[in-house]
Order: sequence, then structure tokens, then C-alpha cells
Amino acid sequence: MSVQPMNPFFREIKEPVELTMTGNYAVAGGVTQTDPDVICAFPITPQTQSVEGLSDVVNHGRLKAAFVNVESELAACAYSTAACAAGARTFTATASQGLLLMTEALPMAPGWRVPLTMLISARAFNSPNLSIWNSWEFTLLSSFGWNCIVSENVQETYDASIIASRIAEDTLFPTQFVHDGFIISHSAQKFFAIPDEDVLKYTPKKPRHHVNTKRPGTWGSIITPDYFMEARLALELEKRTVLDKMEAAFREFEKITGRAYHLIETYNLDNPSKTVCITMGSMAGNILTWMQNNKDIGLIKLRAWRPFPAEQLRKIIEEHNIEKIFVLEKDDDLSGQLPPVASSISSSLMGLPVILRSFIVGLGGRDVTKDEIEFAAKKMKDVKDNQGRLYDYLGVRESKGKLWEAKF
Amino acid sequence: MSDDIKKAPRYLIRFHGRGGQGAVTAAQLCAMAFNGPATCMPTFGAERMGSPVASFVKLSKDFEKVRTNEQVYSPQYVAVLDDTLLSDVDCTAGMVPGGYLVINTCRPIEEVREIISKNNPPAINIALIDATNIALEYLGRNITNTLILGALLKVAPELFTIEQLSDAIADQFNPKIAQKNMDAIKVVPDATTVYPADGDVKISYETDYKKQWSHVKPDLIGVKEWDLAGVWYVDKVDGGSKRVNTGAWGVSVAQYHPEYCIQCGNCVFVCPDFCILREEVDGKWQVVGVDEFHCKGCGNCVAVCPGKKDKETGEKHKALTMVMKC
Ligand code: SF4
Ligand code: SF4
Repeated sequence: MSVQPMNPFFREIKEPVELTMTGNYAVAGGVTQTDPDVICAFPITPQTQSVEGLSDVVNHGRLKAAFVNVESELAACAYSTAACAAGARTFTATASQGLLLMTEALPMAPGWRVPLTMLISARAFNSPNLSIWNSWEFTLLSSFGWNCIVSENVQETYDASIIASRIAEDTLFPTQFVHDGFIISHSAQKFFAIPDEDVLKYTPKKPRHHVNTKRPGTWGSIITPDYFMEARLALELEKRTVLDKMEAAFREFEKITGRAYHLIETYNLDNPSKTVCITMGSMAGNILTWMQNNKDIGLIKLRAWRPFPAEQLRKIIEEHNIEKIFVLEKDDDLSGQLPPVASSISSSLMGLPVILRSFIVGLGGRDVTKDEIEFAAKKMKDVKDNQGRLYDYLGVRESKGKLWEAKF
Repeated sequence: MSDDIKKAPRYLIRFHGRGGQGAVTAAQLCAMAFNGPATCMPTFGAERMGSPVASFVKLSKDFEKVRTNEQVYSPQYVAVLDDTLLSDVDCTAGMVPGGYLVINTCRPIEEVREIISKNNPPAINIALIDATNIALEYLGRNITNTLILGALLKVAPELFTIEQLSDAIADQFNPKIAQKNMDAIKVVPDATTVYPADGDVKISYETDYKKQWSHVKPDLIGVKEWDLAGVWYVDKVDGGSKRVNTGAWGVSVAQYHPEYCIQCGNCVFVCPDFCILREEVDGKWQVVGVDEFHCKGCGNCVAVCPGKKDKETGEKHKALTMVMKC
């Protein structure tokens, strides 16, 4: 009904301004402000409006960028990587099956060290049935050398759309930023937009390596066993510097906006039960509201997912003498091992005397409410060691009138 | 954080409508009009024309109270844009005692009370407004989402002021439409009748009336009936689209006139809901009718139907036409 969702971004934003937009449109706004040269993506629910919004601002004339339509996500990823290698600031976006279709092209951007940015509007994979709703598909498929940060709400995902560009260019590794599909992508929330001038100062287009006709080179050629490992080690060594650069990018961002972000954010760690919940994304908000009246547990919210902030996490757990950890995650691996988030956590904490469990919740868009949080917090009181299976599903119907009971 | 803010109430609102009626926009306008942190989200389904949708709004001066990204389970305010929903969905689910149910309807209060009584709502106040007629008069079309906000404002002046609502509408619509909406909203308070709850029930902004695990809906058909591949075989479960009455979504339905049908099959391919019924006659598949339980009245089949000339009058007739349901 004649609503123009991108309206606020059709003109220059001169002052910090409070807006109400959905997560996807807010991302389109943030990306607009970083002045990308190329936007190339293939629409998929629940990411579509982010790219639609960008096509609006390009069509309107506010953003002078090439908006490129392609025939698939694989093409989108290949095209974006190449555009970025040619020197263009490039944005793409996807989710779920689209991310799967991209996989063939995903490792090339880190390999070429091109600072591509990508929104993932997290959604379930189709298995056993089609679900367009939220799960964390990206945890099973992330990395390949990509950086990845995760946002809790619309403010954070808008900010991430700007910060990701800075992180990508400072580290010269492609960077994904994730928000929960529908829960954030389709929710309208109030957030503060940053003036254009500040965004441009924060994300300057610095000269960087790129395909250059004046300086020909072989990009993506074959390398023999004599060289491949050295090439991989070179990437790895560079990758080890990413977390420091991310933290620096967050610090710079705070200077401009006053909004403080960290690789890991913590709440109420020194609690009587010495128990913390670890999670990321929109669920952190659910837990924080619940914690207003429940001070018995703490929360560790992961913002950096790749690289995983292992050392930082270990330090926090040690310093606060945390005894029990429970993870709430929206993914499963059907492998009998810990699901992806708990896997990363447990390998970071090897040897520490902590008790760990993971609860799989919220798959395929199921809401995560105080019922799940309360159940998990209570269950942890009975858990005394790391014996047996370390994870289970929570908030699941077993049969009519009966809920599946998480057993450890 | 100041103590005042910590004490700030949390307002929870739910809108019920059908896809296309603007329940999601209504929620967004609420969030925009409120002076403070606000979030809103739709129920996440396929929002197709006519399908039941709901949207949720959380408002509080204290950000931490609305930081949660959960849906709303115990609203103090519920607004219903389409009274046919009262029989299809439990619009009063989880409502806080003393809360307000605002309905766009021309039915009398007794009838409304009777319909909602089957869901055993707590003691709530009910406000009725015939927004459809106001919308038709002022906007020229049956879009009532801004008007229902006017009615909500009458029962809940604590949420936002008429000026704040105007600003939100001006932000969201082009100036001409915004002005029409504002003109219409002005007549809403007088056209809204409030029927207070029995007894003196005090509304609570603190208590959460969510029934434990209600979001998992333990009473739905179980998963024991699933086959290995996540399949519901029809001989075991009467599931899938068989139970989804998409026919209830539309205002019109396709009607089949066999005498004009040339069996070209065009309609079969364009129907998005597989509603063109076919049967094998003399070893050939023939179009025989329309599945009214599922036909949502999109009109695709009518558009592609060539039909043929009437033998007597010589006039050309389509074998499929749209008829209004009453
Ligand atoms: S109007 Fe025709 S095409 Fe549309 S749903 Fe009904 S039968 Fe199918
Ligand atoms: S399109 Fe019309 S004429 Fe052709 S099969 Fe369908 S009903 Fe018959």
C-alpha cells in the first residue's frame, strides 16, 4: 500500500536518526551507506528484502552501484568474488539452500583475499521437509576462511552491515554477517542510523590488491604439491590476526556511535550458581529479558563466530571460575557428536574443569521462550559431570500430548 | 538506568487480520508511534491474500523489557481487523485479565460475546467499531488497519497520542493517502463502543499469562505418525493440504460450466492450488469441476479459459467464471 520501506535512505542521512525498519531493510540501508560498487545476489527467503531494498536505492539514484541480476546463488557468489577481485566494493546475500548452492564458490574469496561482504539471513536447510524459517544453517557451513559475525537485533544487524565492510577490508578476508531469518529479518524494530559522513569515514575505500591490467598476474591458476601447503599456511597465518583487527574495528565503531561491541559479550558472570548460558543471535535478547527477574545464571553472547574467539572465551571462563556451561543453539548435526556451536566451545575449553551441555532449540522457526530457558537452567542444576551424551533437543513434541524430554 | 525507566510498564499488543488487510503495517505503525523502544513481528507464515495472520508489538520505555525476540503470548491488547477470524482463530488466547479486545465488526456485542465465549477468555473489556464502513467511506477501500489503531487509542491512550500516530502514518504513506487515513481516524473514537469487563479487574503489565509450552502446541497431531522420510501417508494421517481450507481465504470462487468447456486443459496448469478437478472418462483425463474447499478465487483459470460459443445465442462463454461467495 504505497509504503516505501527504503524511504529514509533515499536521501543523505545527516544526523543520527531513529528509524523503525525490518532487519532486512535496515541492512539494505547500512550497505547503501557504505557506498558499494557492485551488488549481486539471488533472492531467497528470508533474505530477499535486503537485496530488494538495495535495488530500490539504486533505481532511485541515491546509490550509484551496479546492481547485477544473476541466475543462481552459485553465479552470485562467483560474480561477487570476481567483482571484488577486480577492485569493486561488493555485497551479496543469501540463506539456506542458497548458501549450499554457493559452496562451490565460497572458498575462492578467502583464497584471493578479497573483502567481499555477505548477509546471511539464517534459515533451515530442507531436510527432511522444506522449511523457510530460522535455524543456524551457517554454523554447519561457515568458515572456508570467511569471517562471520552474528547479530541480536535490528540495531546490531544494521551496525554489522557497516562494520562487516570495515572488517573485510582491514583483514582482506571476506566477511559474513548473520541475523536470524524472520525473527530479525522480518521484525520491525527501532534503531539509530548513523550519518552518511561517519559511515564513509569509518569505511574508507583504501587502495588494495586487485586484478589489474597494468600489472598482469595469474589468479587462481593450478599449484602443484610443491606449493599448495605453503599457500594454505600463508592464509592461516594471516587469519590468525583477524580477531585483533575485528576488535579494533569494533573499538573504532564505538568511537563514532557510542555502541560498544566485542568478540564476546558477557552478562552477570559472577552469579551464585557459577553457571552460564552461551548463545548468539536473537536468542540472547530473549535470555536477557528473562534474566531481569532471574539472576541465578549468566550469559555469554558470541558475536564473532568465525574466527572463533577461543582464547578469549577460555580466559573469561577461567577468570570467572565458571563451573557449568549450557549452550542454546539452533542447529544440529545428526552425528552423535556435539552440535556445531558446542563443538567450537568445547574444543576451546579443552582441559578446563567445566561441565558442558548443549540444548538444541528453535529449529525451523520454532519460538524460543522462557520455557526453554527455564528448563535448561533448571536441568543444569542436576548435571554433575561430563559423562554420557552431552546434548539433546528441547521444546519438541514427541507425540500427541507429550513433549520430548531432554535426557543426559 | 533511572529507576523510573526500570518501573516502566511493558505493553504487549497482538493484531489479527487476513493477509492483505495490513495487520503487519498496523503493528509497525504502533511501534513507530510509541515514544520509546519498540519492536514488532508478524507470525511467520506464508502471508498470502486472505490467510489468517497475526502480528505482535512490544513497547516499553525500558529497552531490556522488550529486548526479547519472542512472540507475544499474553497481550494486554488485541485488535481484530476481520471478525470472520473470531470463529477461525482463538483471538483471546493468553489475554491478560482486564485487557482490551478491539474488533472491527458490525455484529452486536451479544453475538461477539457468544462467539468468543467458546474459548473461555478471562474477564476482558471489548471495544467494537464498524471500521469497514468508515474505510469504504473515507478511503474507498476496505483497509482498516489505521482505523483500528484509532480505536485502540481510545481504549489505551497510554500507548501513544493521536499526534504521534499521525506522524507515524505520515512517515509510512504518501501524503495523499496519509491525509485520508487521518481524516478517517478522527471519526473513530465516536464510532467506537466500549463494553467494560464484568467486575473491577485491574490490568497487569507484569504477569506473564503464557501457558507453559503452549508454543510447542502439544495437542497437534503427533510426530509418531510420520514416516521415515517425514512423510504423512494419507492412509495414516488426514494431513497436509487436505486440511487447509484455502477456500475460506477469498471472497469469490471459480464456477465451472461444462457446457462451454472444450477440455483444452489450460486451467489445470495455471491453478496455483490444484483446484481444477479431473476425472478419467473413457480413458481420457477430463476437467469436471472446481474444488471449492481449496479454490481461493485468484481468477487465474478464468483468465486463460477460452470457452466456446453458445449453440443457441452464438455468444461466446467461458467455461469458468468467478462468483462472489456470500
Ligand atoms: S480461481 Fe481458478 S485458478 Fe484460482 S484457485 Fe480457484 S480454481 Fe484455481
Ligand atoms: S480452460 Fe476452460 S475450456 Fe479449457 S479445460 Fe479449463 S474449463 Fe475447459
